[in-house]
Amino acid sequence: MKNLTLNTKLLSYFQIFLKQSFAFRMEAIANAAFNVAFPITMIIVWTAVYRTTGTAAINGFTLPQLYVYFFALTLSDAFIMYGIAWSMEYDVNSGSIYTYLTKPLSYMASVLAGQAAGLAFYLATAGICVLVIFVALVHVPITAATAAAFVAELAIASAISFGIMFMLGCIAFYVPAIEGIIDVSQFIMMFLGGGLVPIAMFPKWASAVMYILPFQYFYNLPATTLAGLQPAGQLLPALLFGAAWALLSVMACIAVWNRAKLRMDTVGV
Amino acid sequence: MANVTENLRRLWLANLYAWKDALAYRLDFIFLIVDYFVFPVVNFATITIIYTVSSGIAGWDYYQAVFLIGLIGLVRNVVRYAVYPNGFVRAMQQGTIDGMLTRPYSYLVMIVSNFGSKTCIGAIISSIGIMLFALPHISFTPLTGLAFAAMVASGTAALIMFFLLLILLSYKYFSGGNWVNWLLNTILNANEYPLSIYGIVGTMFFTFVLPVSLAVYFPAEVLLGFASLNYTVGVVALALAMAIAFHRAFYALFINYASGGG
Repeated sequence: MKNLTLNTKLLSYFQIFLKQSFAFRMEAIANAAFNVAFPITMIIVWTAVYRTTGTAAINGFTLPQLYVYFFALTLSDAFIMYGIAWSMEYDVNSGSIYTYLTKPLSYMASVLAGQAAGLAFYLATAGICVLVIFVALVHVPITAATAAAFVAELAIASAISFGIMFMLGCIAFYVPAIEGIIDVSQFIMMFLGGGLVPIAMFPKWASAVMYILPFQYFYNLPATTLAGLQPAGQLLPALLFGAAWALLSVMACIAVWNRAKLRMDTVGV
Repeated sequence: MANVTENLRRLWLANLYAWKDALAYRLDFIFLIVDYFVFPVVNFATITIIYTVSSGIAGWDYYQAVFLIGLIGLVRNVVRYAVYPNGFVRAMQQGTIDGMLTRPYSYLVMIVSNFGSKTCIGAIISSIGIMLFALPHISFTPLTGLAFAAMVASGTAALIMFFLLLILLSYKYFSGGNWVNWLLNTILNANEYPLSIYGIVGTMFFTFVLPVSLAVYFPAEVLLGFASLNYTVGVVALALAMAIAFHRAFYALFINYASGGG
């Protein structure tokens, strides 16, 4: 057992979480259907808006580019680790976080493995449905470079959201119930990140603030990159800025975790 | 009559208890209220952005679209206040509902009393605020106002019964029901915009398959003057017929309910 490497342990956790995810197949099918419903609804709404307005582009977006934007949002949403704070709240309040002390992998790593399994499960179920409909509906050329930048931005989004959601989860050590805090934070991050409307559609003063915040890496940047709306010259600085946010977020999360875990106390078990 | 009074008293007390329970964790309660309050406000911001950058949706001016956003928020959260799918399914899975059913009250009152989300009140308040914001810009008569209220009430009753039936079917055949909550969110999100954008097929779908339009779109059409008052009778009759049919089907399933708990 001692000879197991970190990678082997992570893989074992990943496999266990993946099996758990596949235990509820009906939920998986439903999840796939609902994931496809959001971009389709938005496409219908914006098609009606473009038809009424009678213009080819609104704030720099053509209708096909908006199609790409909304499908990309659905995909990038899967990479945002919102689930971490929810599972931490459960682990802290139920006392099950104690059981991790006896396991051969740190709590932080096991949470990460759980999220990775959730992502793999999503990609194998709902993700495929989203991609199939995306290819069938959207006819915007996507280059290999654009796709590569999109993937890099999703990785940055995952890292930033890991740090932020883990820190939010740590609040459970100080406050008994944090459902409201998590839910409202999640919704605000989604809105400010361009998860409902592209940031370019917001008033100038609002979009100027939103472009500085890390949440744009969750939705707006990957989606506009895939839609071909990010000038090539701006991609590298954006990726570097995002990487800095990711580093800051993970470092802050480790610092917060080191303090919060000292308060580990439980009424469960 | 005594039975009705007893059930209403039970409903009132259960609500009072649920409020006290929700207030046990005050900070979380405040955040949940804020959370729910924010949802309709964000939808309001979204529709405002759409109308700022474009001409919006054909036939609907900004205030009419805002009113629809407020109305869907109101109906969505009244339904959630009455029934929260996750709680109801969990109670059947764990068998905690069994004890409740032995009490001398209507089973419907027991379910509505115990499995609603009380923090939805935040969203109900903000939704009413959004409707009030749009109302001065909408002209309507007292009669259309009354017709509107009757349609919203009957349509919401049909929607609540529809979801109760769906939860029970989901529990019976899939042993779970989280997806009903997702379905509720998805179809209500789709109904935040005028149904005309989905064409006749979409309107039929959201009327006869997933009956949301009876509580939202059709009442809004009458209030905003898009449809005549005669429309009201048909919509209310259809909503009540659906509510009764869903209730009967629900009852038939519920008396044969098999507890998941020990």
